[in-house]
Amino acid sequence: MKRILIVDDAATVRMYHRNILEAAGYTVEEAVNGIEAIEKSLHQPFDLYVVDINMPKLDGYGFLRELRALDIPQAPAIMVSTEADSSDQVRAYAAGANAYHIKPVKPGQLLTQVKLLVGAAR
Amino acid sequence: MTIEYVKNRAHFRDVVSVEDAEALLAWIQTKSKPRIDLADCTHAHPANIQVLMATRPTISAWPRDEDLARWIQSALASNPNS
Amino acid sequence: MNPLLEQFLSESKDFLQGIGEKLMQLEDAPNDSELMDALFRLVHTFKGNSGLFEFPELTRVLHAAETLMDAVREREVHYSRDLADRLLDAMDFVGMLCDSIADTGAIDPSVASDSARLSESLMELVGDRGEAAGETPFAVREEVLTDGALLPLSEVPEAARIEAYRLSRGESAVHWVEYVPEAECFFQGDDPLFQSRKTPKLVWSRMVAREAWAPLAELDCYRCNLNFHMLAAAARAELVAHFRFVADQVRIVAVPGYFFALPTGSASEHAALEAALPSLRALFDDGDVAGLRAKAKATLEAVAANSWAASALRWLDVLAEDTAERPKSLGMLLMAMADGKGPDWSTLAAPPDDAGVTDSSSPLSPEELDAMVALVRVQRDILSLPREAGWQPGRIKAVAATLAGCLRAAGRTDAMASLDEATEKSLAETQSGALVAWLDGTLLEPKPARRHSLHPSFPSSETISSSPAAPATGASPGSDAPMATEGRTARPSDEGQGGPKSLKVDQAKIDRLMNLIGEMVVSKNALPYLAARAETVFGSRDLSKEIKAQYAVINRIAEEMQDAIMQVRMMPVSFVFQRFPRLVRDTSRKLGKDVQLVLEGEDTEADKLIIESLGDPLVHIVRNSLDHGFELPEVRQAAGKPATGTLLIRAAQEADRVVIDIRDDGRGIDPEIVKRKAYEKGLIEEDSVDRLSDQEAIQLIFAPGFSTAEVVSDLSGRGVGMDAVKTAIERVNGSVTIESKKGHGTSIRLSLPLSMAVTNVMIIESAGQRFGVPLDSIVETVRVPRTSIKAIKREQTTVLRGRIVPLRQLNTLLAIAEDAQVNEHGELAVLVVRLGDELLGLLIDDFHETVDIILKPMTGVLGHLGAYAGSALMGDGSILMVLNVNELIP
Repeated sequence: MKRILIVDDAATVRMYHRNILEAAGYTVEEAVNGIEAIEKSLHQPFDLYVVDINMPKLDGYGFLRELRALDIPQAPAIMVSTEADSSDQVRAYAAGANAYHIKPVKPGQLLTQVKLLVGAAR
Repeated sequence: MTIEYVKNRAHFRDVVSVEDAEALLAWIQTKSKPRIDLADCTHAHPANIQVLMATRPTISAWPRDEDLARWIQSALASNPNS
Repeated sequence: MNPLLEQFLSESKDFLQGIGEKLMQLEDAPNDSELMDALFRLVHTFKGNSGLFEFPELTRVLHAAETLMDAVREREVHYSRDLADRLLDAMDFVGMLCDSIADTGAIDPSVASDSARLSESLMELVGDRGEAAGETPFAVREEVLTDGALLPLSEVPEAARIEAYRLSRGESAVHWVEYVPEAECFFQGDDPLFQSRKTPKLVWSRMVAREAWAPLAELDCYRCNLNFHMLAAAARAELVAHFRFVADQVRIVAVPGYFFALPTGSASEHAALEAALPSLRALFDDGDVAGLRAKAKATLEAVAANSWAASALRWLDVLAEDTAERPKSLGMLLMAMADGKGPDWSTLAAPPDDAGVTDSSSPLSPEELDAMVALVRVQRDILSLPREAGWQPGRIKAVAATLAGCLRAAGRTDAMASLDEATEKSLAETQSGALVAWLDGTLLEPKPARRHSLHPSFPSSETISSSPAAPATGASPGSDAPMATEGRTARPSDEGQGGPKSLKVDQAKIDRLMNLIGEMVVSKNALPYLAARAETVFGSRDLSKEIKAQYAVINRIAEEMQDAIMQVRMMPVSFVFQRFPRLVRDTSRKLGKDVQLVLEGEDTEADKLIIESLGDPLVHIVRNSLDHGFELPEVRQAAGKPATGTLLIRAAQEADRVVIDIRDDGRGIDPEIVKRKAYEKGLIEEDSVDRLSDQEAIQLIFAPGFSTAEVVSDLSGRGVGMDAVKTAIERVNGSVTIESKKGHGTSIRLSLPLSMAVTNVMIIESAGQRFGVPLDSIVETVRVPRTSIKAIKREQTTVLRGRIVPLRQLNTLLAIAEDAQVNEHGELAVLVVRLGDELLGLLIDDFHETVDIILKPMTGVLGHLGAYAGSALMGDGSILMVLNVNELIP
């Protein structure tokens, strides 16, 4: 069972990603900010993270840095942002992201990447 | 400033940015025999290279960065005006 | 309804509101690029969200709006009123569609034509750019060269072509990359040279001018006039990934190797070549490739190196290398040598050898393969980023996990062990070197050492090094844990503070808190009674003192709490003001008037209830002013006024009141017309027509049923006059005053309390009952000797400071059949209150203390009793009825 954590403060976006991933058979959990995401990851690490950049409390960059500094099994992270600016991408990668998408992600694109990263759900 | 102007010589240093191009163009037009020293240049925004292409000053030294030197030489070798 | 849709609809309201606001602001500051950016982002995100659903009519309009705003932001299209009009229209339409989706879950297909029309009207403004904007040409067309004449390959130096040929004989296809940057690209921060320099696996490159240079005086060095030509030995997917941000400006053509084999040079030495040809042919026909090469080399020594002949011989040598057979290409080259031109390799054109990154038996589809190549390249770039002290091991592990996923997906489980090994090594060294080496050796093609490729998205190393620097000395192997801790504590905690510091709280919760505090304020008022009882009933003065001391403390805290909750309920008047820019703009436009709106003091705060109650009256006043106040531009000019009228709405706090001025420089109010109308409507007697001063006459517009406009317009005066405004404002204890000068404009002032949560009342006594009277309606309290009360006609009056004040028995007004009591000095207690601009003396029995109370409106059966503003619970548990002075007089 592949578990994916969606980290995003926007309910619409979380729902959107959840719908795509669940339809493909993945198990999805949600966190509304970096702090909650860290707590959930400590509880039980995930197989993949889909992370927004702009979030209250702890943003996407901060979350990834914290996550990568944790002594837990590390899983790939896909960063999803409205920023098409290349400096945001560099920051994302430097913080610990492994892929970068601009919102809204095309379902096909996301699923292709998820399949590459964690394998098919079923 | 990443271009240093001394008398009729313009010395490009490190990374020459897009903002430098306008001043470069203005400077070249005031000199009868402008000379450009690119030796210490590691990258120049193409706006600057355009200026060199259009004004054809003497290049007194090519960049030590071989890759950049090749690019600039290729640019100055092409001449649509002729 | 689908919750996702519900969410979208609720967000769309915010977007529409935001877009409207930004557009209005842009109207005043049409060059504010930050605003344009913000506006673009709003439209962009909104469009993006709409794309999640199947509402093509909606998305189409938003897409057009986005394209237009992008063009505005890029300064390709100038902001204009017309543009704002069209965008606002489009947003109104979008709002309508959202409403329709909310109501019926669908969009009526009949609006499709409106959607198309609005989109077109937006795209019209975009102009040329619009044609391209319909579809983003994301993926560069896959192209394979079939005709050498289509590319200027002969201009590539021979050495580079030989290298390219050799590379294409190996694993990688060689691509011709032609990058034609947009002329305006420098303004978008593009550096096409940098981008080109970082092209993966460059073999050869050049930069050429696109058009002849303009004369120096006219030269615009910020218009990109450069084309970039490159030969790169990278896989197509890599190149597409590298240039994906400028995909529409790049052409990538796979070049089969033989197209590079073009002899070039001067036509001399042809005789020497012709002499050598027969023996070369013979060797070729015998299949003696080695002999052919030897003969070619020997001949080469005898001809000038820069000749076509020498070039052809060199190519003969290159084509023959590494092969024991005689390739068809050799034969073609020999034939070309006889002709002295060519060869025409297009006859050989065959599907290219698209050497992939993974082995050809991969179970992935081409799209998945592309995605994987891009993903793997990103991982390589991540590994080459500067080290991050705190999370470098985690980052390496995450890259390894990513690569492992790719290996599994590609069916390359054979490479798993070596990946693990490389990962371990990298972790032990806290350096990514081992993993990079593994990547280059296993998943990516070997790279030519002289080029270090960076990911396209990495504009420069400066951007990257803004993150905390790695420790200067290498940490000992295996010290992940302490490093992690150190990194975390040392990191500035900037990311945690990014979010907004405000909190959205449900209104009901604030109200509850407010009620509780109200109750506490009332309860604490029981303490003075208790203190009094301690003294009078139990005879303990000390206890009484202590209770009083405690009361003082509790009183202070309660007051502070009250103040704090008031602050929570405070809202800026901008909440109401924000609707005016659009209102004024649309209305004045509709009326053909030119009005500039000036808003001031938008930060002024008042209680939520007050602010909310301001909305309708203000809208009414503004509409009135636009409708009746402002003249048409021609009329204004004829009167020597600027064509553009100015409507000022200013809020300010004055003591404990919010004052709002609405001032126009329109035609003002003609008191004569007002008087005549008032008389016609029976609002005033004939004799008062002449007696009324101009200012008094103007006040008549507040009289119920008064409307100055000859024609009831579409915009205001729908039978509701200024009296409605007055009533609404007075309902929240506010007042309205108006001043007007004919020909010069009208000024209306609304004065409102800052808050209506706590009311300061004076307790009075009449007919043995206690009543509260709001302190702000009390002018003064006096005791008047009975002898000073005179009767004029049937009215009782007295003179206070030279002014005649009419008197009324409060008892009579409340239908209590008792006279006010006279005290032992033969005086009557007179409570002087303000009724609009008039003073009135209320005859009562006695005055008592003033108290702060929480006024609760009368509800139910008692609700219609206008004479009472409400009731309040007193500290001793009794109920105090609070009078509404304005409604007291029938």
